[in-house]
Amino acid sequence: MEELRREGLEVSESLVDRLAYSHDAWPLELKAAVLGRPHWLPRAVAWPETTEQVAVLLRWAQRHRVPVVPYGGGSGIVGGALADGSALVVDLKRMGRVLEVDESSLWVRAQAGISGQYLEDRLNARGLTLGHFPQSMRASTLGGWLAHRAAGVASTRYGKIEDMVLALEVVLPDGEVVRTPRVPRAATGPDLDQLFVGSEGCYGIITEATLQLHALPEVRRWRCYAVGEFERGLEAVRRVLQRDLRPAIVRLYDAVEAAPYLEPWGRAGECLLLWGCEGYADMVALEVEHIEAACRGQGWSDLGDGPAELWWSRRFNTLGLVRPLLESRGVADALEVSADWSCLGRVYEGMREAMLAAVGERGKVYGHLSHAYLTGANLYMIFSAEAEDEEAVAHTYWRVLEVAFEACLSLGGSLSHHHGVGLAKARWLGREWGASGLRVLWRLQQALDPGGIMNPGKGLHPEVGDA
Amino acid sequence: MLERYREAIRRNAMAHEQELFATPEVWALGSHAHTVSRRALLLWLVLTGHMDWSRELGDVLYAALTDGAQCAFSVYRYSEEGCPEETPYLRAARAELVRRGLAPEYVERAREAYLSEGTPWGKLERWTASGEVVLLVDASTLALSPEVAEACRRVAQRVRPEVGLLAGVTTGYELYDLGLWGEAERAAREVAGCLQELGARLVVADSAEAAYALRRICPELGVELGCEVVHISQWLCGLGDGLPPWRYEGVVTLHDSSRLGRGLGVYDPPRELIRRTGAQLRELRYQREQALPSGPTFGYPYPEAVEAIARRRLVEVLETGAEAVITTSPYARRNLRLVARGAELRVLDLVEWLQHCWEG
Repeated sequence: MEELRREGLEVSESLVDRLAYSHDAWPLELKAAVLGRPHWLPRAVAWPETTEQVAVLLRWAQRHRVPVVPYGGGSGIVGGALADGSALVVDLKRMGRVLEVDESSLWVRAQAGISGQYLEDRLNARGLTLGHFPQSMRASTLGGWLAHRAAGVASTRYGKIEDMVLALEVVLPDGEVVRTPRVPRAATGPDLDQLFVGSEGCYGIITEATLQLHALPEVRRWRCYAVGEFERGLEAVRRVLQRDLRPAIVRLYDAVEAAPYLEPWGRAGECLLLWGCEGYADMVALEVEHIEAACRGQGWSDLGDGPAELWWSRRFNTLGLVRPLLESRGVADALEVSADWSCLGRVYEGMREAMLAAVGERGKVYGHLSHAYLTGANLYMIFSAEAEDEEAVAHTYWRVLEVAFEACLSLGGSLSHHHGVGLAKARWLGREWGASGLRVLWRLQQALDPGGIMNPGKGLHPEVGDA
Repeated sequence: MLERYREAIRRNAMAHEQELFATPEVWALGSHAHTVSRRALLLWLVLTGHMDWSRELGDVLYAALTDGAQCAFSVYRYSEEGCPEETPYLRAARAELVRRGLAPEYVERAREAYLSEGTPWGKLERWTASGEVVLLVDASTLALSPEVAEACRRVAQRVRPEVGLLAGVTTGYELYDLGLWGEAERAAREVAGCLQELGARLVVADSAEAAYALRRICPELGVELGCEVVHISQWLCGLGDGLPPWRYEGVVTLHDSSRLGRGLGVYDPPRELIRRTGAQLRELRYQREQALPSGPTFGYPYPEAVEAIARRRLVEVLETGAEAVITTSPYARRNLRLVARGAELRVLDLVEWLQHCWEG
């Protein structure tokens, strides 16, 4: 580490600093750290301030075969930012500036360590928006969004993070710096940006990104309906999306998760279908007209915008995941999968039944749809469970995930829509990709990182995942 | 001392970090150790015997801004139990560090200065004048911004010539915040004694920190003042039509001081005074309960980070297009002035600004 310090990098090996990085928001390790039993305690932490310092650091790590784990806001819930006792955590929060905004071409260039909310605030001051509003945006960074292929609540209109990327600056595992060209589109080979987006720190460290922007919407309008059956709500969403409409926010909550929003309207026990349309007033009016037509005549209760205002005011509420962890035998997690319309309903029912059986009488399972496409949608399946004793918490957790992903994958769904793989889903990655697909990922990793230093022990790393 | 906050610490250690973006010390220093959840985790590990107190831990705990913005964004604000506030247990932890001799050196220097010369800044001139209404000009104002102290005195005497005066004493805010609780109690008792001698029935505190110390910290320390306490903005608002013809044609913004706003719930009086001058008030994006901090108060373990912290608030200020930012804290005034150099922006205390409006 002295070698790094001589190069001007700040590095700490103190226990206080290492404990600060002993967990992210993955429930199992969050609990373990608070119990004083962290399983992941890094060797050291470094805080580069420039791309050149990141390059110096990775060259050093290659020379000395020291594993490297990039760290942003620590809000990831799949354990992707955990580092063991041999690894160096590289925290990018000192690289957190807006570098350039082009209001004519509508893009922003920013450093990867920038806070998501801070970036959005600076854009809003110019009348612009990224359109990316993950529930973690106050707790996460741009680099983390890119590394995990994040999606925000308004993604149906604005796209996911991969849709927003125009260019990246990435420091490869050998210290070489790649800067992809910033153009709207090019047919000059595969899109290298898409290689790094979702790479979870395994192909290098993203240090800068250029992202497309939008004008702040003129108007936002909400429409909410109390829907008797989840399946019929799915059908309504499918019809609207396949009308080539792209309302910014589309959420369908099952009866359990909808209850707090519908109780004030006396509709507890039903599902909540919530639409949020924003943009130019004339376009929004058209969207709302078609949504209303799709929802009319279904026998649903039209709730206007009321539940949506409540939902919007509580959109950063993750207590449902935090509260169970405060109980000694409690655990909770939010699994987000995706599937085609043809099998989405079956995936929801299959996962729900399997998870309910696994959590038993003292647990809860609920879900919602939150990102929709022409061909399908994402599903969140959230659970809380109470283990038999403190020692059985991890066992309970893995049992629920096992049955959930078995149901999901066997019914045609994908392992993760936008949280990534990390540690939580690594063991199922082979089922998702198949042997051939996994081999492509491995070969990419080996080509870029022959030393195997980048975020080892996680989903995209050759050591993990089934062949 | 810390046991009292055991549950608050545990809950914060387990929380999702929804206040991360509003914790500027994290972004200035770049380290996750300075997040609310990790500070809580470290204290929890000490409480549960997994870790010892240390100077390194002390540096982290003293780097916290104790501004209370956490609760405006914490995930627990959605809970029935409410947000487990970090500030009380941070101060208790600091007191424990002081007791163990592990506090940063500047804390010990503050204690020595207070004990030998009466304030953490050393010897300051004192003025007193009797009255039922007494303007208290805290030592922090005199030390950091003597022109503001003078403005407070002139404005107060203009609107009420009979107002008494107690200037140059420390209300003990800094001492309490640094964990020097014995010294803070002594300072509070001295202030209480002075006010009694002056015949005060109403104390008009010149700054956010002074008002907070008198209204919140004195009771914590078991010190009874025997008189009502208001911030100077509240006092001036309460005078109704008896105010001078202050006029200002221009755009200003207001930085809500943490101690006056979240600390005492006082948001409207400064706004009312601004409104009465005719100035156009453009609010900051994060205002009132959500106001983000401008930086540290007395001392800081990482002095090189103070500008970076203040700059995050300055960015918001500049985005309003205001020609001046008004504040009610000598620390906020200092922090924002530090980074406003070169920008076309004036940073003024509320009363300092009112005096300019009055005198032209």
